Amino acid sequence: MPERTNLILLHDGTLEGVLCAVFDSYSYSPPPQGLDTVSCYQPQLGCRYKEVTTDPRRAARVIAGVRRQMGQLGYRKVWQAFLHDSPEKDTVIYRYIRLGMKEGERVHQMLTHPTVLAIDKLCAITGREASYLTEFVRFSEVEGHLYYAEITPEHMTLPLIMPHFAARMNAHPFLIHDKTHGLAGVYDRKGWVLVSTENMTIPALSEDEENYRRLWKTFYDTIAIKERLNPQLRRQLMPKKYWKNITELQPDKA
Amino acid sequence: MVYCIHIRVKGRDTVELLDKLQILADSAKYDVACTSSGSNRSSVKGMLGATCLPGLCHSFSADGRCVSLLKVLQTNVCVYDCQYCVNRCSNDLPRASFTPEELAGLTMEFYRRNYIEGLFLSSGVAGSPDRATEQMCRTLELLRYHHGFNGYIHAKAIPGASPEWIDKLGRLSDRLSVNIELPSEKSLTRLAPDKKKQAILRPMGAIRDGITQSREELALYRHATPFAPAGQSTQMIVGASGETDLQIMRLSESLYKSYRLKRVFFSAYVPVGNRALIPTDQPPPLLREHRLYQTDWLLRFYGFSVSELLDEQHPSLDPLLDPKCQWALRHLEEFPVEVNRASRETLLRVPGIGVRSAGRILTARRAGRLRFEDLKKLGVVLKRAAFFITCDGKMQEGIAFDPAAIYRHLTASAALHPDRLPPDPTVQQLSWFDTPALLPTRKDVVQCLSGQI
Repeated sequence: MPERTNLILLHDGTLEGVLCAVFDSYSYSPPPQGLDTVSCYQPQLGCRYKEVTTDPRRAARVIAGVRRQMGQLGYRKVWQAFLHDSPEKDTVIYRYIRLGMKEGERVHQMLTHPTVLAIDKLCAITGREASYLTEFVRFSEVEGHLYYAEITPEHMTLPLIMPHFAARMNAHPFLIHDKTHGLAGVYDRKGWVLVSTENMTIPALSEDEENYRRLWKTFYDTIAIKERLNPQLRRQLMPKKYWKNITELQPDKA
Repeated sequence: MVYCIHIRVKGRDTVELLDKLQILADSAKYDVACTSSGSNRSSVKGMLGATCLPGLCHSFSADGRCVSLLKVLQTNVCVYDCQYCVNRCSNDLPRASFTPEELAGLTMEFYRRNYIEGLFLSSGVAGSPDRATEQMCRTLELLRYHHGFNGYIHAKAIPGASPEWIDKLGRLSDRLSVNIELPSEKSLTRLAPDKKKQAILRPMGAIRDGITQSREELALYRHATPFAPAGQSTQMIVGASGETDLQIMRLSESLYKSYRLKRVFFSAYVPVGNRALIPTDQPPPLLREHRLYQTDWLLRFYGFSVSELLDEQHPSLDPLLDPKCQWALRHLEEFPVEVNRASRETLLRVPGIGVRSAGRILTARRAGRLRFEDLKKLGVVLKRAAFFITCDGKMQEGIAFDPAAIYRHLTASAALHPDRLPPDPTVQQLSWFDTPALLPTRKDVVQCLSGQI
């Protein structure tokens, strides 16, 4: 049984910050209890807090270490779990890296270990949201042959879906606007970047956009077989939280 | 003719296109296959689209079916008179045809908006099978060569079309399909007098040979045009004719084996229009369709054969239980299975353990012995699996290895939702004027006590 400690490391909320905190944790014995962010931690009675400075070089050493010990899959899990929006993800990532550095590749077999279960759950949530988004993102053509889409994801899944669209929609520029996080993924036929959407103006729809929406909606309404109606199954496969950005599920305009 | 990449829809044209789309989607909606799986073509610079191996759904219609492809007919004008089909020439409904330009433009615009994963193109037989296929090929050529469309295309091969046209169609699409529609030759002659069994099976054989040949070509020449790289599929209507589940599944199994199909789809018969040959008063047999799909999955991913699941004594699937549970209850001698030692094949045969959880069990048990609470974390459905497995030689606490008790437990949830079951013809609304035997008979009491429902 390891000695209990009440130390919590505070980082700046970036992935590099988390990785630096993991790096620093090795200089404490017993290791710190967990991580939290400087900006929004709530001090708890009986806990000590210590702030960590973010330094890209230390973060890079942790990444290299993770890749060496746990393989690319290990780093992928860390990165994908970090996109989750819960504050507890930092501690999960911290425990996972510490476990993985000790166990090496074997960590990918320890599927019933609480830490591995926790990070797998975070990855499953962000991964599931990303796959829903690749299905349900709806582009609209706006002025200047740009394709524009709005999404309202719960987690920061934009970087997970941008490569998918950048590959298949490479013939025209497009922009995916994440309204929850105030971010936009912009593709300009060469590569994609994430930008902040402060001061962004959304261009007007092109003249034919409404026509195509009507065509699509007509198709969607026609394809359902009345004798088989099953709204429960539809909700299960296409959760309601995504509906507000899905063209064919918008009510008809009078 | 000069085309521009962005085909413009102007005011008047839209209305016409809207009507056509409505008519031709309405005519195509009874085709089940809407999958975009089986083809893994990465994107090409400057071309629109890519395909991914598991496929991608883009929407789900109000009946809960996935909308992956723009599923339309080139035309719903048809010279045939098949009784089950909505487009039969004797049915009175509006007819329309897409021009290849219209359909190709529409597909491109829908794809750019991420509405669809590709095009599902079928056609009524207007004129001759060759002519119908020719029109389809023109649409697909426009899409592939003119618009540079790299997404998924599923095309219907029309029975009776010449091999040259089928070959051309196959080189333009990812998946080809020929619909069997009716699971026996007898039903086919009764309900689709213009179609012959051989006329359906011949193109299936031709497609199979085309795919094999194309594989060899691709092995030799890197730039050979692949022929239907996502394979071929077919569909059968369930409930329009009197075939049993056993006959349907035997036919599917032989199709998988002899024609190397990727998928066999089942479609619960929905009466369309007015016809005398097919009974119309019953709701579509959705639960039966579901059970057939479950059996189909057991054939394709779980290493079962039809003879294990159904036989002359059990020609139809139990609506209360999934087919794997049915099999397990009839083969209790193979259980319980020790989770920490069993092979993947054995694990896959346990109810409540699927392909994913079997894989996870194999991985996780390399790191340590598994207990029941671990299995739950790995995604095993213990509600079903607990009756058939042991962990370290012990069954879960409180589980009795008794066929009647297991059957009762497994069907408990179905018994709670009788509305999901198909209507039982022997059950009737009570009436004052009937004199039904309301008191339980001696047989009922014995069954009740011995626990057999």
